Amino acid sequence: MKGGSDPGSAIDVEGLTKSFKTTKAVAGISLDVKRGEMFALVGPDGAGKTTTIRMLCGILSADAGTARLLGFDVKKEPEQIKKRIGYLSQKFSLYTDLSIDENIEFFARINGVKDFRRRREELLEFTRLAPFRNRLADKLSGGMKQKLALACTLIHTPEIIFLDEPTTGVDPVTRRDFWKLLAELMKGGTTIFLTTPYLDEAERCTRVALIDRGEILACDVPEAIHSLLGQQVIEVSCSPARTALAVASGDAAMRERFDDVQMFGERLDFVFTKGSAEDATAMIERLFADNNITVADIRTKTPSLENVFISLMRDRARRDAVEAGAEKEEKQW
Amino acid sequence: MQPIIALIRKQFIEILTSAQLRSLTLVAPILQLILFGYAASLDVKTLNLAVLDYDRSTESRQLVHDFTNSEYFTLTKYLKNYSEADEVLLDGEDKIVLVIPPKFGADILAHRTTPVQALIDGSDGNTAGIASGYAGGIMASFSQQILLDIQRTTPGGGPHMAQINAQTRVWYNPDLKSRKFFIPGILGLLLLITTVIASSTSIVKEREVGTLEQLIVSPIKPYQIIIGKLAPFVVTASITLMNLLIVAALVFGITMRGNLLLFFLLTLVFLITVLGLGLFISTISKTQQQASFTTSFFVLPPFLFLSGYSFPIENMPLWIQKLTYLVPLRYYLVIVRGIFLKGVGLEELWPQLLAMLGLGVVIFTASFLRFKKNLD
Repeated sequence: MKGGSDPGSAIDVEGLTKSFKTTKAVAGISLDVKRGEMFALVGPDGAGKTTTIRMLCGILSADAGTARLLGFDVKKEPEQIKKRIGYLSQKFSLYTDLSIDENIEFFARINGVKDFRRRREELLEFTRLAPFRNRLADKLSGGMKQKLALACTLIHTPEIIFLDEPTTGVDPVTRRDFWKLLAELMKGGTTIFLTTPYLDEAERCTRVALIDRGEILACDVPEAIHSLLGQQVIEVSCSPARTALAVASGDAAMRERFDDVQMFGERLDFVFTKGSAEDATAMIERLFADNNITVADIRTKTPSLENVFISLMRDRARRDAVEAGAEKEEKQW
Repeated sequence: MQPIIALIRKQFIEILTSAQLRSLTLVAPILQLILFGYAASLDVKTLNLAVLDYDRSTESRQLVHDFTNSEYFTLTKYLKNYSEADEVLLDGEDKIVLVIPPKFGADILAHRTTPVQALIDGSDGNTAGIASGYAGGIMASFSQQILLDIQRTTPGGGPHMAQINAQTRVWYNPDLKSRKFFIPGILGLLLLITTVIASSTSIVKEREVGTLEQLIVSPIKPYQIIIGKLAPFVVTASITLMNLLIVAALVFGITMRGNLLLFFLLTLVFLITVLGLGLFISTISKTQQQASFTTSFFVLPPFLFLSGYSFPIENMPLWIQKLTYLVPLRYYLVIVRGIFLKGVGLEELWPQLLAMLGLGVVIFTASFLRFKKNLD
C-alpha cells in the first residue's frame, strides 16, 4: 500500500490556494491533522471554510498547493481517497422521496458496500433513528435529517469524515446530541474534520485553526489559543454600551492601556496584556463614572476564543495597514 | 454495476413518487396529443359566402346554386350594393363575395364570354388560397356545363374541343387531412419536450439539493452517474411513446403503416440526442426552473420552426434550410411521418438514421464532457 511520509498524519495540507474570479477564497493554507483527531476550522462566513473542505474532499480542485489524505494525494489518487472518506455537506443532502432505510441503502450501494444490512442496523441504533426507518426523508425534522445524513456519511466506515458546518441552523438539543455522536465516533478512532462559525463548539475539539479571509490566523489546542497572546479580559456590562465604547475609544490613555475593546451586545470586553487587573478595572470605572455611564457588572476573566479571534483579526488588519504604508502611528481598536 | 443499478432504482422511485415527474412523463403527453391533435388542422371546411347578384336571371341563380351545393360554401345573404360587399368582408362575417354582373344570363345565352367577380378576404392567406381554388373549380365546371349544353342543343353537335382530363389521386393521406400530417409531428415534439425537461430537471435537482456533491465524493464514476440518471428516462420515454401511439390510433384513427419495431429502434436513436440535450441544459442551469425555462425558450422554438414541424423546409430561404440540418427533430419527423403514413423502411430512412446518430453522438459527447468538467 502506498502511503505518505508521515503515517500518523490523516490530513496534510501544504500551501493550498483557491481563487474565484478576483477574490482569493483560500490563500495558501497549511495544516497537519493527526489520525484520531477532532479538528475544527473556525471562522466567520466567507472566511474560506467551505472552499477548504471542498478542496480536501476533491469536489473543487485547488489552484496551487498539495493536500494529502491518509498519505494519498487528493489530485492524483482520488479513487483511493473516496473509499476512505465521508463528507457531510452544509445542506445534509438526502433524497427526500426515499425513506431512511432507502437513503442509507442507496449510499451503501453507491459506495460499493456489499453487505450493508448489519452496518445499517448499527448506524440506526447509533443515531436512534431505528423507529423511523420507513419514514420518508422529506418528513423528518431538521435534527433527524442531520442524523440521517451523518448515518449515510458513515455507511462505508470512512477513516476521515468531513463535516461542513454540521450544527448551523440546528436546534440546541439536536446540537448537543450531535456532539455526543461525534465524541463517540472519535472514541472509535475516526478522524473528524469540521468547520463551524461557533467558537464555543470548537472548544470541544482536540485542535482548532482560526481562519479569516482565506488565511490561518492560529492553529493550536483550544487552551493554547486562549493563552496565545497572554492576554487578560475585563468584562463590563454597562449602558448605554454604544456610548461607552465611543468614550473609551476617544480616550488616548485608554488606547495606550488596552490592546482592544470588543463589544458583544450590552457588554464590553477590554483586552490587555500589561499591568495588573485591579489597576485596569479602576481606570475603566473612573472613566465611565466621569461620563455618566452606568456599570452593572465588572469582572476579570480569561479570554474566550471569541476574544482571541477578534484580537487576531484586528492584529492582522493593523499589520496590513502598516504594510499598506498607513501614516497613522496611533493605535486603533 | 451495483452503483448504476442503485441509481436507476432510486430514479424510478423518484419518478413514481414525484407528482410532477409522473404527470410530466405519463399523463401530460396524452392530454396534449388529444388537445393539439384536434386543434392542429389547417383544413378549410365551410366558408361563408355572400352574393351580390346584379342580374337575377335563371343562369345567375344556377351559378349560386352550384356554390351552395358544393360542401365548401354556405350562403349567408344577398347583398344590395358594392359597399355592402366591402362591409361584410371587413368585419369578417363572410370570407368570399360573389359579384354577378348584369346581363350575365343574357351573355351566356348569346354565347358571349362574361366575367364573374369573386372577392376574397386575403388576410389569412391559407384560407384565401383554398377559397379561391374552390371558387375557381366551381366556376370552371359551370363553364364546362354551358359548353356541353351548347353542344347538346346545337343541331349537328356544334364545335368539338379536345380536353385534358386530369385524374388526380392523392396517396398516403387521400382526404388531404392536415391532421394526419400533424399528429406524427406532435408525437415527436411531445416526446422531445417531456424527455428533455424531465431529464434536465432531475439532474439539476441533484445539484440544487446537494446530492450530486455526495455522488462526487463517492467512488462512483461520472459515466455511471449519467447512465444511472438517464436510463430511466429511456424507459419513461418509451412508455410515453406507447401511450401516444395508442391515443393516435384510438382517438384519431391514425395507425402505423410501417414496422413498429423499426419505429422504436429509430426512436431510441433519437433519444440519444434528446437526452444529450437534457444533459447539456442541466450543465448550464442552476435551478430546475431555469432548466425548464431554457428548454422552452431556447430548445423549443428552433425545434418547432426549423424542423419542418410547422413550416415546410423547402419553402425556407436557402441559408435557413442549411441551418435545419442541425435540428435533430428534422430527421425524426421524416422518420415518424415516413413510417406512420407511408410505411417506408430502413432502405428509405437510412440517411435520416445516420444524420440523427451523428448529431446524437456529437451532442451527447459534448454534454457529457461539459458535465464532467463541471464536476471538477
